[in-house]
Amino acid sequence: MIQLIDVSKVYGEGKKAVHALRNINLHVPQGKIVGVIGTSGAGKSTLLRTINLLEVPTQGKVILDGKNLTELSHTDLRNMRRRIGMIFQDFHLLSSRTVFENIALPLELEKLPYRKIRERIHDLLKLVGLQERSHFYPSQLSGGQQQRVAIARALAASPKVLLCDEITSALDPQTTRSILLLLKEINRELGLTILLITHEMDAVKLICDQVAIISNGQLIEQGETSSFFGNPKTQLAREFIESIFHLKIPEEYQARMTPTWSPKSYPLVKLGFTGKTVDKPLISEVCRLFQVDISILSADIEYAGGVKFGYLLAELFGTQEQCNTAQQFFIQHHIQLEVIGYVRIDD
Amino acid sequence: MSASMINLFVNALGETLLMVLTSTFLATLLGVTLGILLHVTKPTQILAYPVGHHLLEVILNIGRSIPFIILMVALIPLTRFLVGTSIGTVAAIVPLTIGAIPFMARLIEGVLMEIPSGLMEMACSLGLTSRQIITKILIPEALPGIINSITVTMIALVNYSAMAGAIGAGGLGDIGIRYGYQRFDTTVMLATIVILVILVQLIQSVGNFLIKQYDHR
Repeated sequence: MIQLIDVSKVYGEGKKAVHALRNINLHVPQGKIVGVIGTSGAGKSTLLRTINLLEVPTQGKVILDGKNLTELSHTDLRNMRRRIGMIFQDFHLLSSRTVFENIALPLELEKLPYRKIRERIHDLLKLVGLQERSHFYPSQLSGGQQQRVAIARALAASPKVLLCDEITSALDPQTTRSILLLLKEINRELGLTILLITHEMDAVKLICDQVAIISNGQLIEQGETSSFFGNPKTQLAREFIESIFHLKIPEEYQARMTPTWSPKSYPLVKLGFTGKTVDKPLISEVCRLFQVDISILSADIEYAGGVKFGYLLAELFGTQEQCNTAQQFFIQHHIQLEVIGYVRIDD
Repeated sequence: MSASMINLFVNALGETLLMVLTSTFLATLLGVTLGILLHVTKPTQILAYPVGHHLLEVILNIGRSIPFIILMVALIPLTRFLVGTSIGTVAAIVPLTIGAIPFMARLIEGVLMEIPSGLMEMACSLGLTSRQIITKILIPEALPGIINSITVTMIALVNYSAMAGAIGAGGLGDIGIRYGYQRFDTTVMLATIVILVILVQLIQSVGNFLIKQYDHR
């Protein structure tokens, strides 16, 4: 449905040139929800805006429904944009218009008779669950309700594609969830193709069929959501996934840590679980088999597509030899293991 | 105060209202148009046209640099050409309007700058033409600010009309100067000021009321 072929975007020239996008190839299949995830400044927003040419690519092709958008005339492009819905982080509703009038905006462009507009808006309000709010002004609505109005407006002209720009970043977790589920419902009922950019892994996990990672203007990896986070194929993707997990070593531990082993110190290890990790209760097995005690400091484990993945910080208590065998055991069972340091025990 | 004096005030108030209302109306038409043009021709805006933008900017700045009293005299040939005379209430409308246009245009430009740029992006994503962006987004979103600008301009014009009165345009300013100032008639002076204060209060109140009606932010 949407295809980006070798798309690059450069701002400025010469030495000051900023490469916002570098040779991006992305495919969004018909009827799928694809999430692009990346840290801020990675080029996500620019990527999304090249699809409806709000940002004109410096190089490359943007193909939507078989048409190369970069070759369209101004008028054709404007007409094409009406078939591409877009929703934004800050909703961008008109404060001077009521909910009804905001949703009517794209329909006014179609020069539909008022009766038709009213029917269409009635259906849309029902879809987003705001029938009672038709004559409210945006300032009288909550953030989640405003985003629902924006969704209804984006859907008004029956687009084939919906572009979502960080749409849940201004919302609380519960509202985020309800907005995302609404998108999923729209995707299912209307067969709408959705491209969503976000920095939140939860959003991607909840509704995306496929996911791609963007970093420094490059698309690193694209794959099915179910296996993606658990089995990154490239080093960059692995590093990115690691970066979205929040593991912190407490200050007090850092003060007591040394880089090498010494008597009366115990290893602090970081265990990385991926899709390759053998699915067994490995921690308790290690305790039993090698008489090593394990104290977990911090853990962030996610579950998606039948796979556990994430990171765990733990101290291993035992003799140096016991600890070494335990570490070997983890590695044999495909846990990524990194010794962060050795924690001194003061007594 | 004698009946003839009261009659004088009624006439003067009529003249002031004629000057202020007509010149506000004309200055609004032209000032709002130029203010919008000034805004949308900026390099980052929908009708980017830097050369035109700079030219307009220079012209508006020249307009605002000329003191009103000098502008009135300088415009005498134009006034004669447009209304046939350079003396009287109707003649004063010409310099009042021309003096207010650049002032209004700048105020309107400032109002338009306050509109979040995201709304322009949204409008482009919906496929609005530049004309539709102006009529459906910029003007309605800026309406409370535009009404405020008109109110401010109108009150400034009440002031300027008094200055025009000094050189033969009639109105309340004329009475204040001739009877109050030159003949040391404190009662007339006070009455003039009271009427002007009430007039200004009234204009501001109507403006505030309308802003409240249209402001849903």
